[in-house]
Amino acid sequence: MPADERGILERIRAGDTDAVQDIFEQHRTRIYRVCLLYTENADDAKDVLQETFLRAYKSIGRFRGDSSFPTWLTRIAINICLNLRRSRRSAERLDADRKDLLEHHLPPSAPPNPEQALNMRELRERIVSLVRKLPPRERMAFVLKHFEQYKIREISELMKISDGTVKSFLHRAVVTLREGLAEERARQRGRLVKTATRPDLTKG
Amino acid sequence: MTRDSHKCGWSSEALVLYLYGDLSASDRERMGSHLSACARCHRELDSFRETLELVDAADLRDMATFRAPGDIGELRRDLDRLKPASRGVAAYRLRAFARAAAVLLLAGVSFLAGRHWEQLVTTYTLLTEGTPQRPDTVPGELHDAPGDLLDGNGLLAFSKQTNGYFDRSRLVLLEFANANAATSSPALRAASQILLGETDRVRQLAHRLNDKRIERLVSALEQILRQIAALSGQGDATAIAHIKRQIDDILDQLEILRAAPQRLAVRRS
Repeated sequence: MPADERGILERIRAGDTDAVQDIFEQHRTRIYRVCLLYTENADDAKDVLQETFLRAYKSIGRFRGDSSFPTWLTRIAINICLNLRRSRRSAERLDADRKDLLEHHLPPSAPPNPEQALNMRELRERIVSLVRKLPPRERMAFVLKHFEQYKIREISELMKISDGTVKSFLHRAVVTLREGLAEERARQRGRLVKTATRPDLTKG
Repeated sequence: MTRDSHKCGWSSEALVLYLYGDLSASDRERMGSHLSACARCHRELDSFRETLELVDAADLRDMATFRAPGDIGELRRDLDRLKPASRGVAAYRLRAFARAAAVLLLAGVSFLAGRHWEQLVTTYTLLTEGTPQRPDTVPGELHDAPGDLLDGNGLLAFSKQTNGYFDRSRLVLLEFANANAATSSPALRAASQILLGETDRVRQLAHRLNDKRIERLVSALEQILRQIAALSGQGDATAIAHIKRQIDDILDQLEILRAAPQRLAVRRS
């Protein structure tokens, strides 16, 4: 464990809540990203982030150093995510949740072609929708692997499942995404074909 | 969606792992050679690669990074309400254990005498009424007496109407967590059974409070209590270990509820 991290943990054990701020600064982006990619809901992700650090502070006495501190912290966040119970939500709420993940982000240069922009937006929405529909643990394994680049063994440790199960979850997630995206592209191609074959009504 | 092996002997799953660089060095080399000879595996690998490239093109990771919140204010307020970790951990656990032991003793007596839980709690409250105040109390510090009043009118009413359901559950879970690993006590199983009998009513009250988190906590407690109640009293070591792993998470939530109930207050309908 890095010396500065050890020092921070000792301060937390001593009841120094300022030390939690240091840990928060170091890890909040990564933890929040995992939470948001998993929950696709900014409110839930922020709640999980807050609870993660709160529980870490409360449970610091239980951290024995068997794993690294970031791993322990991430495991707390994953536990909270996986235990989230989703209440039934209206279609409007689902749309609002998707917007949480999709809005406010502008690419460095907007594509000049409006059709391209529309297709990218639809693709993004479709991917978010497909990831959301993955079973919770497959979704978590995919988020940790694809977006956070954890190794299989690390994911196994974080999720407390076997390596084989991680591999299985990952494979199933990728297959599901492949099938879903294939449908989306077929749908977009179908729309383009209809557009291309529309008769020119300006010619008499 | 299966791990079907192609006739060539390589599984679809192995192709995904190959893309992610998660095959062993020797398997990676063999796969590399194989792909140059097997059209089917090559096609499937390309389809997986294209899928993952599309996911990358959607740029979700960067969007999530862009939006990470930086405000620690709310977290600091919650932390300030909690008991300082170092001062509290050992002493807190000792007090919790002592109280849980008292509950266990009373639960055992009550169980044998066939008394109701309400009488048990009343007796417990009377026993602890004379406990001297801790000198280092600060606002929002944890209290150990059952049925302790919580902030927030809704939660206060909830606690009163459920006779401190969360506090009583917490005591049972604490005692279970500290108990012998090999066997479960009849008193704890009986206490769990009594709490389970109240669950429907508690859940209805939580629903009226319109707080999804409270409802979720009630459901989670119910699951744990069912498992405890179902223990047979002999040869339970594996089941007990499994339950103990789940208890940590629930205890954390119950502690947060006691220390910072506004965190579990109604946020949005």
